[in-house]
Amino acid sequence: MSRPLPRPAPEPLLPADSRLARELLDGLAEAVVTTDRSGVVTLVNAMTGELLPELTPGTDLARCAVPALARAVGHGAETFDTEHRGRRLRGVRRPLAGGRCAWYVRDVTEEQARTDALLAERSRTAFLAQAGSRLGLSLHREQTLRATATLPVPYLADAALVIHHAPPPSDDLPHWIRYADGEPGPVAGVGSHELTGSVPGLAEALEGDSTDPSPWLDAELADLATVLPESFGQPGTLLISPMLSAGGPAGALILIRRAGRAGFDQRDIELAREFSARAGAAVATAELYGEQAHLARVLQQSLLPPQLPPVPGVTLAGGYRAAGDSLRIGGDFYEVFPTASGGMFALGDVCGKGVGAAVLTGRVRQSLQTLRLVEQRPLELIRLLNRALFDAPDAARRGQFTTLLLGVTAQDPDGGVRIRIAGGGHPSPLLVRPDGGIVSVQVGGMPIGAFTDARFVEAEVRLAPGELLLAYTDGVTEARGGPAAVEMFGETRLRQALASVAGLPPGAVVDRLLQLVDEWLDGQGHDDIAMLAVCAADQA
Amino acid sequence: MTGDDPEPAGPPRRVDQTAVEAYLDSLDRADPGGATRIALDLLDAGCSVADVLVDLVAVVQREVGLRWLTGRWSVAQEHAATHVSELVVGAVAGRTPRRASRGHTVMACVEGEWHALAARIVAEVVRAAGWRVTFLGASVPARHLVSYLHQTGPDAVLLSCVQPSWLIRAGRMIEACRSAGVPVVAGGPGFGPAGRWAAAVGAAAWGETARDAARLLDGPLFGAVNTGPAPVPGSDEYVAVLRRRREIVQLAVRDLDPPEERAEDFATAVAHLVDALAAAIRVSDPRLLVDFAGWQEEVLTARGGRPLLDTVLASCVAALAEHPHSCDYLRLTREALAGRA
Repeated sequence: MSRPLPRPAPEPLLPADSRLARELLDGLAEAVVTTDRSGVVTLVNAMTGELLPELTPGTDLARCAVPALARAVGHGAETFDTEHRGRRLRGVRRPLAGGRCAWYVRDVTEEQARTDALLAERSRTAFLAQAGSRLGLSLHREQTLRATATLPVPYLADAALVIHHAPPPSDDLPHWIRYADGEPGPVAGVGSHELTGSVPGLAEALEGDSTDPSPWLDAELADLATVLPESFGQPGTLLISPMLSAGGPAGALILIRRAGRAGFDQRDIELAREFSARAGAAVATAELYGEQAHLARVLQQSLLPPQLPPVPGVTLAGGYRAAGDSLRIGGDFYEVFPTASGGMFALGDVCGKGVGAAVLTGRVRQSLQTLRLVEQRPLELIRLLNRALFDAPDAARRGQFTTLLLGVTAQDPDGGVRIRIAGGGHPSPLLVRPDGGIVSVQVGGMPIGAFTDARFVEAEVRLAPGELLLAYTDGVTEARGGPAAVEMFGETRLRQALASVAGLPPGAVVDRLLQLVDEWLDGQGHDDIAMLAVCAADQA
Repeated sequence: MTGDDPEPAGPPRRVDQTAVEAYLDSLDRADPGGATRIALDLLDAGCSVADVLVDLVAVVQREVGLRWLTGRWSVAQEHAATHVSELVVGAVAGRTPRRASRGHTVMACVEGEWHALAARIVAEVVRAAGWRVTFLGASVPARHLVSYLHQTGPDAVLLSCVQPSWLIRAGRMIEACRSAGVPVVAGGPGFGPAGRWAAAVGAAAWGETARDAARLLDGPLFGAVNTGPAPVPGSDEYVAVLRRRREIVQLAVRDLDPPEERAEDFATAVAHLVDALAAAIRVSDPRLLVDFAGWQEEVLTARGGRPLLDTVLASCVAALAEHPHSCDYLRLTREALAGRA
């Protein structure tokens, strides 16, 4: 049994029912607006009434009261995006048959808000991450404070001020560091005593308490205004946060926004608090480091090789490389003192390395400084020094000793120099002739500070003009390096090196030797290295 | 702003050729008195510290380097001349009023770098421009520099590197400064023609002369936040090269078979070449190695040596066969040297 074939539909069925069409349109969550070929609105759905009530049939869309849409129509654009009646709207145009067209407009307010919130959260996290890593970099107090003032601008505020009290010994005045938007770098200064009291919330923050953000009142904040750059403009709001740290507040952070900018919202405040707490911790760490470093520096300054004073009749140069540690102190040392007739020099090596050796080095140099005031003949002085060191408490038990060369120079009338050298078990100094000839000056003797009955000897050497005497510690000859990394630099290489720079002034000789030993070491660790070069001064 | 001193007395005099020649002549005679007089006379005639140090002392020092390079002057002559110039810089510095109002900078030479005169000149010109400058001197170990930075918190570090073979060390020092929050202004030919490798090792800026250094410090580089963009990572093959450095040097010296008294010099030269290879890979630029090898060849042949570099480069290729960048760079360098010959 056959059934009649259905008649093929010439085109998809459209609801002839205009009422149905109307209901479908009004049920949409988008606003739909159609126009005829001249751009006049022919139809709007219900959502249009909510989102774009300005549009009714008969409106000329190119001149409608929704500026973004009118512009889009005018420019023939396919989309528009605008803020309208407190909502975020996004519209798309679709052409219809017969030159007509339809605009579909969506309310994306919430979508946008979610995206904005996500971006804001991301930028906060990025800000804190960057701030955290920047604040962790420096161990220097001032630099950490400068970073604290610089980082919140412009993200959190248009200007940031750090108020802090300089570590003692110092005045009691509030110090400030400012960074304002557009400035090339942070600026520091000292405020008046009134500053702390006159700014509401500042004294509290310096005590560690937080206050809410407040509007800028010119009358109240005149003292603070003087700290802002003149070109800053009118401030709007400020937020003060304590820079908390384990040892109490390290200061206070004042964030200032210009009058045109929105105030601080709750999230901004949380972020500012978090940031200033991190900054406080970083400053506290830097302060702690500063105290330690200061101690180390005081120790170091008393131990580092001195700037050599001018000595009549001779030119001198010293060179020094401490065994690896960042304190740059060790067991080798040299000293030069001018005397009535010329000068006195000493070069020594305290056994051991590191802080232990450094302490003994300090004692040897102190004793030498004192004893040379009463005794300036080298052999007598070295004996005296031995007694002094040996008598020091615990010296024998530690079994530490020092090798030393002690020389006294006197000018000869012909321009040469006579040097009397007393030795305490130290490598012999080398005499360098201008023609490259090298002679070892035998001195000998026993180390000082180890034996009550130590014997010391004295030698005399005469430097003609152009001749040079080099005293050095065994760190030079025992530097291990070279192609195999285990060979010692040795006296032969030292002599060759000296021959190659014969006739040069002491400074150039010492520099060249340090360079050669450094190249020999090729980055390997080494013992302390010290050297002292002396030659007769030019008559010129 | 060039770091020049303001208000010279009378019509300012420029450093002219006569002064340059007279100065070179006093270096040739190792005459510190004469050299100092020339420099101080120019200052009295209205030249600025930058004029005297950059246009006279630095210019002549380049000539001194050239004379050493071409073998006209011995190492000793070069050292004597440099020493005289150092005394001159000291004397000029003694005439400069200290008006440190701008901030604090630290001048250091990369570890292993002993040519401190150029750095000294930069330090004095920057000082004359109103900065407080701490001159840490030649060959500053990285750990000393870092401990100094933490103790004093300067605004910037000026780092001098004359030889590109020290670039890896320079990079490590710059990294150390950056991690202490201090930006680095690089200077010296070691950072490449026009400083092309300075950014790759993390320097915030590069300057050619002492005047550039003073100008760069004037820029907005140096807020507390900005240590410049991070260094470019590049290939890590240089690490492998450095690890095998000693082995490569021994192999190359064995292949060269030099007379015993020169074996150590050769070993040092080869070690520098390997350093240059590592540096070239670090900054991804074979030109670093090509230029350095060309310079070494020049030094060696100027002293009457036969061309040796090709043998050394061949040994390196053999030793580093499994490292593609190294082989590539070494091949390019051998071709370039063959082209020069």
